[in-house]
Amino acid sequence: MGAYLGYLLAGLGGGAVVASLALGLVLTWRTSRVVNFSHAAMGTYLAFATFEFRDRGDLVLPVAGIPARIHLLPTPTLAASLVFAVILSAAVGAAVFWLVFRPLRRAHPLARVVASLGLYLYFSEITRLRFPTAGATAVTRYPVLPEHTVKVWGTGVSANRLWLAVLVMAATAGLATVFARTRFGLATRAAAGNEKAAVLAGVSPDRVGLVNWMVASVLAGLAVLLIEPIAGLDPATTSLLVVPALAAALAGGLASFWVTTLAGLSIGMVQSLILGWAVRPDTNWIPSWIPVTGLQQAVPLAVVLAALAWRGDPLPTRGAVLEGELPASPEPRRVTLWAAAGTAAGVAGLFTFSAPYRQALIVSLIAVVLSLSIVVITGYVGQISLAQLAFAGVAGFTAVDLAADGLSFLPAVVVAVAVATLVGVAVGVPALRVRGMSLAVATMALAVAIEQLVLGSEALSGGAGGRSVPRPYLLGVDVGISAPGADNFRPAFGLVALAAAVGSAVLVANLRRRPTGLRWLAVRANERAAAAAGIDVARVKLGAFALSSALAGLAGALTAFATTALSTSSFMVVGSLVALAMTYLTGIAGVTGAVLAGLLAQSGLVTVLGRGGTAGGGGDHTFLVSGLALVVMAVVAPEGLTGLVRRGWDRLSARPAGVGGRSAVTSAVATDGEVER
Amino acid sequence: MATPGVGALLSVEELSVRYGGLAALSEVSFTVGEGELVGLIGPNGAGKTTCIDALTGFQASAGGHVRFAGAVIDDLAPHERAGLGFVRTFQSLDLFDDLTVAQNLEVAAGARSARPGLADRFRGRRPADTAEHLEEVIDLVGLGSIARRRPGELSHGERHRVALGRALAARPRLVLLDEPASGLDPAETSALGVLLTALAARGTAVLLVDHDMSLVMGTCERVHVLDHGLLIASGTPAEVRADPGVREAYLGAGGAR
Repeated sequence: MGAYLGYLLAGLGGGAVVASLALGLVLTWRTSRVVNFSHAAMGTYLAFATFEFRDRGDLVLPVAGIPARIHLLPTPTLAASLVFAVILSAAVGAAVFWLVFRPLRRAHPLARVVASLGLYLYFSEITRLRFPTAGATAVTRYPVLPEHTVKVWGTGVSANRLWLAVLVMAATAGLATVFARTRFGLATRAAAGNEKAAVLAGVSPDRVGLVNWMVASVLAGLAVLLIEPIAGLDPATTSLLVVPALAAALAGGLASFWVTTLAGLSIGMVQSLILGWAVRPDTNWIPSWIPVTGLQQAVPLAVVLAALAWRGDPLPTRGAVLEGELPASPEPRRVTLWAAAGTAAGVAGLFTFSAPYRQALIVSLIAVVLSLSIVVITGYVGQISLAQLAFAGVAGFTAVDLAADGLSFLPAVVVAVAVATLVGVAVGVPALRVRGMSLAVATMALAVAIEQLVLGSEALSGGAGGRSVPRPYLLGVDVGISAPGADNFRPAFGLVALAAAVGSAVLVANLRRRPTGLRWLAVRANERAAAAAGIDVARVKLGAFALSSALAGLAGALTAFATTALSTSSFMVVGSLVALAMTYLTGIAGVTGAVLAGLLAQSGLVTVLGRGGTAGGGGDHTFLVSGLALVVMAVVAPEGLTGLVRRGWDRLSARPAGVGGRSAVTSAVATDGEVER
Repeated sequence: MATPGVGALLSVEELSVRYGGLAALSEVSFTVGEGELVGLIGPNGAGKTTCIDALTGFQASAGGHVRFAGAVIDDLAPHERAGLGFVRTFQSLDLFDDLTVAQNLEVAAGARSARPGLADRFRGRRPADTAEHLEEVIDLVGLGSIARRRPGELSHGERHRVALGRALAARPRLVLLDEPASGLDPAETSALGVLLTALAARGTAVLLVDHDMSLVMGTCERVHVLDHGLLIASGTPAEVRADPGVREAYLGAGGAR
C-alpha cells in the first residue's frame, strides 16, 4: 500500500503540469473559443528558450527567417531566468493571440483547429531546429524547486512534486477568484458568452483576449520549465502533453478551473500508478504484451470519452458574432477525363522516372489516398478527425500480420481495409454525439492511445525494428516494391498504388456528385435542417466515417507493402496532423485538393523534385513550412489553394458579375477567360 | 376526440413541453385533416415554435402524444417523422448554403425517394421520378430562374421560397410552416397565400404558423390560438376573431389588422 501511495504522490508532479497546461487551455477556450492544440508545444519552446537564456544569456527567437538569437546578458541568475521566462511566455502568448486567433474569431471551428495544428507543427519544429540538443532527454538541468525527500504518511516523496501541486492549486485559486470576483473576470465571461453583447457593454474582447492568452502562455511555459527536472524534455513527447491536458480541461467542461485542476492531478497520479504497477515485479499483473506507455495514454482517452459522454457536447459554438463557413465544395466535373489523364501521367512517370523519383511518386500516390480519406470526413461532412493515420496504422499492421501468416496480397489488403473500416465506425458511433472541436479533441486522444497502446505493442508492430513485410503477389504477378539486386521501387508496385489512388479518387468524386454527396454537404451545412429534410444524419456520418477509415486503411496497407520492414513510426499522430494540414492547405473540400496534397506530401514528388532527386535529407523543413503555411492560410484563405485558384478563375471568367474593385488589367485578362469558356 | 373535416392526418393529444420548471406548452390538443389548411397563431412567447419543435421531434415532450397518419410518432427521430411525410420549415430558414437551390430541393427529395442502386449511386445518376417531381416543385414555387444559384446570393423572399420548395420536395402529406411570411412584402405574402391554398387543394395539408394575421385568417379553414403554452381557442377564422379571450390575448394587444 505504501508503495502505491508513493506512486500516487510522485504522480502529483506530472499531474500538476497537466493541470497547469489544462488551465491555460480553459483560459484560451473561454477567451477565443479555440482548443489550442499547440499549447504544450508552445510551452516546450518557452522552456528550451529559458534554458538557453540561463546557459548563454541568449534570447532565441521563435521566428524562422530572422536572426535566431540575440545576446542579452552575460551570466543570468536563476531569478533573472524566471523573469525572462514569464516575459517571453507572455510575449509569445500575446503574439499568437493577436496574429492568429484574434483574426480567426469568426472563422469556422475547423479554421481555428487547423491554425492551432499549424502552430503545433511550427513550435515543435522550431524547437527542434533552434535547439539541436533537444533530443537529449531526461537530463536534469535546472531544478528550480527543492528536491529533498519529504515523508508523507511514512512514504518518501520528492518535495518538488508537492511544490508543483501546491503551486498549481494556488494558480487555480487565483484564476477562480479573478474570474468570480473581478471586473476583468466578468468581462472575459461576457466576451466569451456573447461577443456582440460584450462589445455593446463596452468590454473590449481584444484586450480581454490578450491578457488571457498571456496568462495561459505563462502557465504553459512555467509548467514545462518545472517538469523538466522530473521528466526531462523531449520536444515530441512534451508537445503531446497537450492530450492529457485536453482531457483534464474537458473534464472541467472547459469552464471550471477547480475541476480541471483536480482532473489534471488525478490523470498524473493514475498514470504514475500504472507505471508503478508495471515496474513492480510483485504487482505486475499487466500482461507483458501491453505497452505501459500505451496504458498510460489510455487514461486521457478514457477521461475524454467519459467527459463527453457525461456532459454531452460541452463545446457549443454559438454565441460568436458570426460562425464562418467551411470552404465551398465544388461539384467534380469531367471525372473520367481527369482519371484517364491521371492514369496516363502516373504510368508514364512510373516507367520513365529514375528510382528516387519513382519512390517519391509512390509516396505521393499513397498520400493521395490518405488525403482523400480526410476530404471525405472533414471536407465533405465537416467532422474533424485527427485519427486518420491511426486507422492507417491499424490496417498496415493487420495486413502485415495476415501476410506473415500466409494470406496473399489482395485478401490481406481487403481484410486490413475492413478492419480499419470497423475501427472507424466504432469511433464514429460515439462521435455522433460530438462535433467540431470536441470531435477533434476526442480523435486526437484516440490517435495517441492507438499509437501507444496498439501500434506500440511489440506483439503487433514488432518493436523498434518493425516487422518484416512479406513479398506481395497480385494474381501470381510479383508486385513487390523492391527486387533482389539493384532494381528498387519497382513500377509493378507503383501500378498497384496508382490503381488505388485513381480508383479512390474516382469513387470519392462520383459519390460527391448526387445523391450521397448532397447528403454529406447537407449534413455539413446544417444538421438540424438536414434532419428536417428527412436525412438520417447519424447514418450519413457513420457512412462517411466508414468510407473515410476504409480509405485511410487502404493507404495504411499500401504503406505497409511499400516498405520491406514496417514500423510504428510510419503512423505517428503528428503524421495525421501534417496530412490534415496539407489537405487543408491545398483544398480540403475537393478531390483536386487531395491530389495536390499527395503531390506535396513529405518525401513526395514535389519535395523530391525540389531537392533535385536526393531522397530525404537532414535539412527537411516540411513541418516548419507546412505549419507556417497552415497558420497563414487558415487566417487569410480558408478555402485553400484550389479555392483561391477557383475564385480567381471565377472572377476572371464571370465578367459582368464582378463586384467592383477590378483593375483594368484583370478586366483585360477577363476577356481572354471569356474566350476560353 | 372530435375530428372535424376529413379524417385526421395529424392529431396532437395533450402535448406538454417543459423547460426546467417552466411549462412552455400545457396539454395542447388539436388535429389537422388530410389536405386541410390550418393556422396556429399566438402572441410572442405563446409557445408556437416550441409546439412545432415538439411535433417534429426537435424538442422532447413532457407528456401527451403525437399521431400522424394513424400511428403514434412520439419516439421517432426528426428525420423519421419527415420520412413519413411530416415535413417542416424553419423560421430561420436554415438552407444548405453549400448547395445550389436545385440541390437543396434534390437532397430533400432524395431522402424520401427509393434508394438508388449501387451502380446508379456510383455513376451519380438520379431516379427519373425524382427529376420529374423536382421540376414540378420548382415550377410550383417559382424557382426556375434561380435553380442553379446558391442561397447566399438570393433575396430574402427568394430564400423563403427555397425553404418552402425544399419542404415540398420531400413529398409531404403535411407541411408545417414556421413563419413563412416573416419579412415578405405584401405582394409576396399574398402570392404565398395563393400557393398554400393551391397546395391544400392538391391534397397536401398545411399547418401554418405566422404573425401575419391577414395571411392566416385569409387562407386557413381553421385556426388554433396559443397563449402562454395553452390552447385558448380553436375554430374558423370568424369564430376565432369573435372570441373575446383571443381578442384580449392577441388581437387586442397586437392590433386587429
